[in-house]
Amino acid sequence: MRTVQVVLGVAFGILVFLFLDYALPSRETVRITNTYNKLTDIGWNRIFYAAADTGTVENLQGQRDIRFIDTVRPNGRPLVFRNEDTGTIWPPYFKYDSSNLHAVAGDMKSTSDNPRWVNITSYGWRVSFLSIYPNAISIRLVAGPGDEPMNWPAMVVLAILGALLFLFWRMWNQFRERSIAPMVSRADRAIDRADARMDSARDRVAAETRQARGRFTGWLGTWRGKPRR
Amino acid sequence: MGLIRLAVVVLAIEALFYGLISVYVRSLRREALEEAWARRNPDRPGDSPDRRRFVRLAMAGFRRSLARRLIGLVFVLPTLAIIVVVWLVNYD
Repeated sequence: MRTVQVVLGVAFGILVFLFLDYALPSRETVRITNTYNKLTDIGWNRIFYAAADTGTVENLQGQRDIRFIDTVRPNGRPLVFRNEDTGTIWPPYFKYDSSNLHAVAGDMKSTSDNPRWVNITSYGWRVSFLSIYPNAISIRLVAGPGDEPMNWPAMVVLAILGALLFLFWRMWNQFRERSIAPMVSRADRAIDRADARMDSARDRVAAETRQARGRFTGWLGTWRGKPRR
Repeated sequence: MGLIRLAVVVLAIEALFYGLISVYVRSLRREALEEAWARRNPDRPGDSPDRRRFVRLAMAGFRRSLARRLIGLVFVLPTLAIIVVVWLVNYD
């Protein structure tokens, strides 16, 4: 039982971490090399793309014309972003300026000979074998490849989530102390009373049985000439 | 259409939090009042009709207090946060 609890707890923790890692914004200093649209097959990996009713139209074959931003990291490894509107519900970035962002990204293209470094705020993962891409949210110029601006949006969101968790904890404690504990003690008292009533009933029955038996043996005794006590 | 759905979902979540927080704040206030009663009447700190009356009258005043009304911010702050996010993401 203990092992099952530990395993479930660890699995839950990993899930929460993955969820936050996916949904919270992250910042990456990169160099933009290309911007383009590509007709993209969206199949079972659809949950890693924007909802169907936001901005991009899907054709009958389940393909979307999605904007992409090719970039290279300071260590020379590539990182490809998609650039999609997010819609209004999930994830709650409320992004609807993909076209503007694409214009900005196209304007900041550079070559390795004459690099311009930018910082891209995005959410999501790049997993090549799932064909999923992080969604770029905003782009700003930075001084150089070593310039990593503070990721304060993620910190603010985490702080708010922590505060909410603390609030829930306090609420639950208050509820337990003021509502559940009195209810339990009331139930305990009721059970005690019922218990006492049952005890006294049992005692009465035992006493009456004893009395009746005494009377019966007394009557039997009269047959053997013993006087009744 | 998406905007209406967003408004409905946000309003529902805000209303849920409004309910939870107002129950919580009322419970905290009631507990503080019971403690105040115990301080003022050390000879009979437990539950009694007099204490119930004292708490009821004080809670009637609490319903009109500023602290109670500030819970309404639950409807304002998340909406403001959404506006700030929209501005940061699309116009900054």
